[in-house]
This record gives sequence, structure tokens and C-alpha cells, in this order.
Amino acid sequence: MTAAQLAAQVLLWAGVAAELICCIGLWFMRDVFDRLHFAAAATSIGPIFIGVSAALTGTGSLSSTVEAVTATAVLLLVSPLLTHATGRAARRLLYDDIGPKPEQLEEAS
Amino acid sequence: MTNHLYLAAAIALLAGWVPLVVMCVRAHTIDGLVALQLAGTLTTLVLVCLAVGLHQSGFAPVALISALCAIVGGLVYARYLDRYP
Repeated sequence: MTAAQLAAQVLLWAGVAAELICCIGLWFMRDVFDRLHFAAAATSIGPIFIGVSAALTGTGSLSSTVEAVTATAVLLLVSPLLTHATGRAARRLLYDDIGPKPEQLEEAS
Repeated sequence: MTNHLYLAAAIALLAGWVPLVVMCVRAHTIDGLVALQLAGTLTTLVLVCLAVGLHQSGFAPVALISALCAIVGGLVYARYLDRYP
């Protein structure tokens, strides 16, 4: 086994473990904002590890390897936008406003 | 040539769907949306693992399309719930 193969396996299982931990964390958290932390971590840590692992191993042809790595890169780069939009929707859905409450403003001043 | 480690990783990733499906069915709407987004991420990573594990180049574009659909679909749902009366 070469060093690249060993690194690919370690990264692969680290990515799988990160994804499964995020799934379990999503299950046990209390509210949607805590759950968003785990969802955001699942779209950053796991795709990095599994994407690098796929790049080291390859899918048989260069073009399909590039497509597989691009899929993980798209997840990594665009998912913060999705997390922000979901947090905004959750804030408006649960509190009817995306700004702070009046009592929160009084506490801050 | 089959890489069994990547196939095992794909199966392990599929196991992560179980809590997400339960949450989509039973939890509040916005919690279900978060679970749906994570399920889309898992789907993409499963397809990447299948592309590497089976050495089938046909899975790679499906993974790319899955990533795009998961993000665009999540944004549409979030936008809908943002304007929900």
C-alpha cells in the first residue's frame, strides 16, 4: 500500500465519520439553530475529506474524477448560502422577524 | 475493478439517512428542511463513493447534478418558508 492509498483511506473514513456524527448531532439538538451548526459542518468537513480522497484514488478517467471533485467543491462553496437562507427562514418562521426582539435590545443597551 | 472500501463507505453514509428521514416525518417543518438539506449532501457523497468504488464514470455527473439540485431545492424551500404567512 502506497502513502497516497493510505492517505485516501484515512481521509475517506474521516469524512464518513464526520458525516455520521453530524447526522447524530442533528437528531439530538434542541432547536433548528443548533441543528444548522451540524448541517453546516456536514457540508464542509465531509465533502473536503471525501473529495480529496476521491481525487487521490480516481474514478477511472480524469474527466469523471474532476466531476466528482467538482460535486464536493460545489457543496463546500455554495452550502453556506443555503445555511444562511435556512437560518433566516427559521428566524422569521419562529419569531416573526429576523431582527432582535425589543427586550433583547433593552438588555443590550 | 471494484474498490470495496468505497462501497462500504457508501453503505455507511446511507445509514446516516435513518435519523434524517425520521426527523423529516416527525419534526417541525423548518427542522425537516435542515434534515432534507443534509440528506442531499449525503446523497452526493454516496454517489461520489460509488463512482470511485465501482470505477463507473457515469456516477460522477450524477453526483454533480445531485449537488446542484440539493442546493437549489434547499434554497427554494427556504425562500418559500421565509415568505410563509
